Amino acid sequence: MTTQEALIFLATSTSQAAADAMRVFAPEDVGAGPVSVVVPGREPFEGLSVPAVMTSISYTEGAGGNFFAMPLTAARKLAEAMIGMPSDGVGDELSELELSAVGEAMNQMMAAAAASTSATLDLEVDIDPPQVVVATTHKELGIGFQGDTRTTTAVISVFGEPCMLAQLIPPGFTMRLTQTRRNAPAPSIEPEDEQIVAAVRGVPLRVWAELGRTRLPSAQVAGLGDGAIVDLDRAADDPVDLFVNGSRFATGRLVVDGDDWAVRIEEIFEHPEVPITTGGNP
Amino acid sequence: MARVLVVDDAVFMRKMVSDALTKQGHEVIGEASNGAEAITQYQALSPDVTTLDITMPEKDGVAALREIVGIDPSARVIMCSALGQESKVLEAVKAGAKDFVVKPFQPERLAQAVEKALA
Repeated sequence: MTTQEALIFLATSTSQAAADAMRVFAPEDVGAGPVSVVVPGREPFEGLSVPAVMTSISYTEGAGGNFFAMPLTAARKLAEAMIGMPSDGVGDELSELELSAVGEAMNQMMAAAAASTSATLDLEVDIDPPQVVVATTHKELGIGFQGDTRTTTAVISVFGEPCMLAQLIPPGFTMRLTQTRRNAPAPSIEPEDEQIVAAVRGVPLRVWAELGRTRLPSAQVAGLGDGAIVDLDRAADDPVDLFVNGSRFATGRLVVDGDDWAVRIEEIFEHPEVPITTGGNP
Repeated sequence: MARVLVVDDAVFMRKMVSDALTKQGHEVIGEASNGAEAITQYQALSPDVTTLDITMPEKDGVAALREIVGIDPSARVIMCSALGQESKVLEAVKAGAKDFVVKPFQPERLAQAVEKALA
């Protein structure tokens, strides 16, 4: 994968996640449009109509971040849809409640975009709290460039009006993507093996995640009552282990998927550890 | 029916949460827009349940939760978070939050969380 391909790949997945998050507030009125890489030195929001509401988040590490700008006319329609009643703002001004509603939608969208980037890169991408501003000139929509950071844009239409998501991508991110993709070629299978592979693919496996473990003297175990606290060997921010049929094969992070717990894999071991037996040393 | 303190920096989210809770028969006895205000309001109002946004200026939700639990170990607090804040959610649950809802949330999910916190 070339750097250009990596940039487009990342921008596409990020913009889809952002559009999905926005659809929660306006199910029928959000569309994901074309994605492109910005020529260095150009401002991504030059073509957008002003006044516009812009929200931005920075990644806590590296010179990256996401920016989303939405013309005021679209912002007003979105606020009306979210609040469920006609606008009480005047002219080019959004009321406090309208701005708060639009800010909230954009913030949730930016959180979803960052979570998607994090998942695509298999990398923890922490973000600073979002900033929301109403820009009346293109100058205020300026982002600026820093060093080797590249910028991508994605058009996302909201209530038929083109809005724009810009992503500042630090070189480390693209490098990570080009390397991950290069290291993971599709496995090739000989035709005669196909039947065996098909059969093996249907075998159900037990997969579980382990938060931590501990060893206790039997007397202490026997004495455990309701409400007792058992300390485990992991810190709250340590990765969890994933086991398949008893072999530890990966580590990952506990994440929330809807209302359920899920695990985002951080590292898959090339040689999974041998199965553990009950009572064996961890 | 519960007496609820609603904490979120976005006035829109406070309105949404308050409207949903009121419709479910609860009473919203106070609102706060940051963590520091949340602590003051908690001490003044002694709510049955508190909903606490995680990302807020001044003092964030997790820091406010720690102080509230310090003041009242039996405090019933529900965290509200956006996507991608799993590590903060985990921290909050460890620090004593009774439940969490992920934004954008359905009113039924909020009702369920309040019921769970009251149980």
